[in-house]
Amino acid sequence: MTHALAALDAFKSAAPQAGDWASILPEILVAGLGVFALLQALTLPASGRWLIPAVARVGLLLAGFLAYQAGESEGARFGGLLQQDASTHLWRQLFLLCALLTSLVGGRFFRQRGADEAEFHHILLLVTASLMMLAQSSHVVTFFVALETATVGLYVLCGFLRRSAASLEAGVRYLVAGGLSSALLLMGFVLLHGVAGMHLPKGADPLQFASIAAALLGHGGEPLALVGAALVLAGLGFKLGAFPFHGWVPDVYQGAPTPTTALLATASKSAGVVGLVLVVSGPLAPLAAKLSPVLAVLAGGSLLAGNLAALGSSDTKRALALSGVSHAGFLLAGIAGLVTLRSQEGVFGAADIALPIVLAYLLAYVLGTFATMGALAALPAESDERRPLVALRGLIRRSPSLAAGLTLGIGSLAGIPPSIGFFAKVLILWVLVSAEAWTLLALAVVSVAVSIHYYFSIIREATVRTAPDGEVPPRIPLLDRALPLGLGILTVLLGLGSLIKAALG
Amino acid sequence: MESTTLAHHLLLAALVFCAGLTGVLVRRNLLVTYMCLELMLAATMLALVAFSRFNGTMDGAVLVFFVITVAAAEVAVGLALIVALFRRTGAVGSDRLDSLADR
Amino acid sequence: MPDPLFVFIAALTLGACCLLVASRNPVTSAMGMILALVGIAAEFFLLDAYFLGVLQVLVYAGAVMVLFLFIIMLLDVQPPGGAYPWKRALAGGAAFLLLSAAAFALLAPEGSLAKAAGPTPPELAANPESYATAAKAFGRSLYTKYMLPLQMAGLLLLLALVGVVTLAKAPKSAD
Repeated sequence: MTHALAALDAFKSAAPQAGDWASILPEILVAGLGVFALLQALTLPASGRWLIPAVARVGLLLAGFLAYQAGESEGARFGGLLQQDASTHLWRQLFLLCALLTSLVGGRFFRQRGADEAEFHHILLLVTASLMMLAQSSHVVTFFVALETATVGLYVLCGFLRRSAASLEAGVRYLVAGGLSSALLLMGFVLLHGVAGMHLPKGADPLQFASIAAALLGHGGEPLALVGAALVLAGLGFKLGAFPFHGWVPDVYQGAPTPTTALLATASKSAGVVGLVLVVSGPLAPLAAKLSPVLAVLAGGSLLAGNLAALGSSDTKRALALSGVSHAGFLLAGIAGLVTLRSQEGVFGAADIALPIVLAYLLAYVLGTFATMGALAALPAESDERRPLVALRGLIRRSPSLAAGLTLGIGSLAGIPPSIGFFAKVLILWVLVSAEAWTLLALAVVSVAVSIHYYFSIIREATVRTAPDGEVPPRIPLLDRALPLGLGILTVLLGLGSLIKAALG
Repeated sequence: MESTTLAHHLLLAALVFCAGLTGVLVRRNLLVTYMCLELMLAATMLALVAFSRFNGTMDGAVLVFFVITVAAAEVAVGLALIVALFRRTGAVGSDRLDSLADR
Repeated sequence: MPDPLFVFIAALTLGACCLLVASRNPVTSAMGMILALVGIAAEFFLLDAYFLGVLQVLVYAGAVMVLFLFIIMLLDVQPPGGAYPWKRALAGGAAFLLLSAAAFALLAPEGSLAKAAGPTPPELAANPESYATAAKAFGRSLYTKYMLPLQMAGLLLLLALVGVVTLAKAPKSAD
């Protein structure tokens, strides 16, 4: 008996403590809501099903509040499986924002097309919870499991319109790209773990990011470690949709249901960014000098490949997908700058604000993308996967509010002042100047100039060209019209706010 | 066993991984492509177990446990997608998937 | 020279991989895959990871591959007609040779990688739980240190279940 009690005590002290669970309360809340959505679907009568999205949205706001409250807490949790710091809570809020906007865009969209809202919200909430876990992982096991949970959920959301061949095809294509990415990423981590295990003292955990970094500090030049690092970068490059791993992006973004496309473009890309940031500032930090040129090549390639391909595209969703590749290039440029700045000491502490700048860029990108995709999702179309540019012709007559939301969102994505997108781009350029990455800076400026061409062709179709005669203005519910417009106005207000702040400060 | 070194085991894992990667790149049948992806994951597990054995750590073996779980879930969802696509279009060859071509 | 048993298993596994990648008949491919997975499980046994070896056979070679075979039969996938695509096979073979040459170059140098593990290294014999030879050590590890990822894996399985049901059930008519 005493023996059993002693064993129980040993178990209790080794198991996660209450404080550990309390630190991931927002994630637990979101995942719990995901399960609750299923229970509601089982018990609610058909007339009460509006509760499912409502409960999910309120819960997401509540989780955002909890994450905001946790703003100061830092430290290792769960015996080093998680690591929280100030930026963790910002990432969490970003993912919650993406989920809330996807729920707002997707709710009616899927209901109209005969897909089930309860399952949509279940999957969306679980994906969000695991992305939030990913943002605080400091161990290969949590990193891998969190990333895979999110990816599996996104496979389903891509194929969610199961009556549409294009949606299923997008799901299958994403499945192959995602599977390849996971295999490469995992192999990379395995090699890094092996190198770490060979050099660490007995008892150290070679899957912990900090111990991998400690081992690579002395042995980072070993070929096995370098191959491992390259595989990890390739795996994350697939997730980000960065050059040269962007082949799947246009097909998947175009074929997926528009709310899923918005989620892929924002949350999944943010997951790639946060994963990359965690990896380059954790296990691969000792290789910074070797990493920054590689990241710069990926960034420059993405900027060029995305923009040049988008120039020739006649489909709105496809053009936006390819422009997303160039946005990934901007984000990678920011990360490359971050890595370079970290490896050189004392540039006005520029390295410390490079990460918040990447986050600010993502926020601008999220708002712009949801304004644009929200407007597209609200527009009736023959098929969701074909939204040619000409279909937008004369939108300003048919639905002025949607046209305004679309224009403001695109303006922010293009980086037109005074939108928030403009400031985000300027800040990234500032990081590149601080890091003295002149080639990348030149590429970024050229790509902004190129991108304005195709962004403006979308705006021109929507606002300048006149609609074909005899077209009946569609009836679009208030929420669907208000969301893109509200987000579009928000991008301008935030931009003006930062302008005033910059002028005063 | 005395003279089978870590390098031998890793080499086998690497060759299996490369075979899977080749299959993903050249095969056109979706089901076979998907099997090749699973083969790549199995190769990473082999490398993990080999490292764990030779470095004497437990954590790598635990990761294998999670990889098996994740792979099983992924296969279930992936096959459901492939079957749904097949029922919709009647094709499993990835070069016959063309409803997304940029026209 | 490596152990003959290892050479046998490695040859079997690689042969099965070739069968998987090169065969035009999906059923043959699936059989190759099963053989490769059994070979990898045998490797696990050689590496003293008995629990994982059993798990591999049960989950992978058992459940997953049966699912694959079932789907192949269900969809009645026929091998494509026409001549064997030699060009693509040659390209694939060349790619494979290139990749494996790189792997050889990476792993050939005699260094820390060339170390041999004795049948039971002394530190493992003294402290068998430092290395997973028993399911008990796994259970302890999963329910203490790795409690959090275990819960996440549970949610992943639920998510996959709901996802599969969503994708498979008959579509409702739109309103």
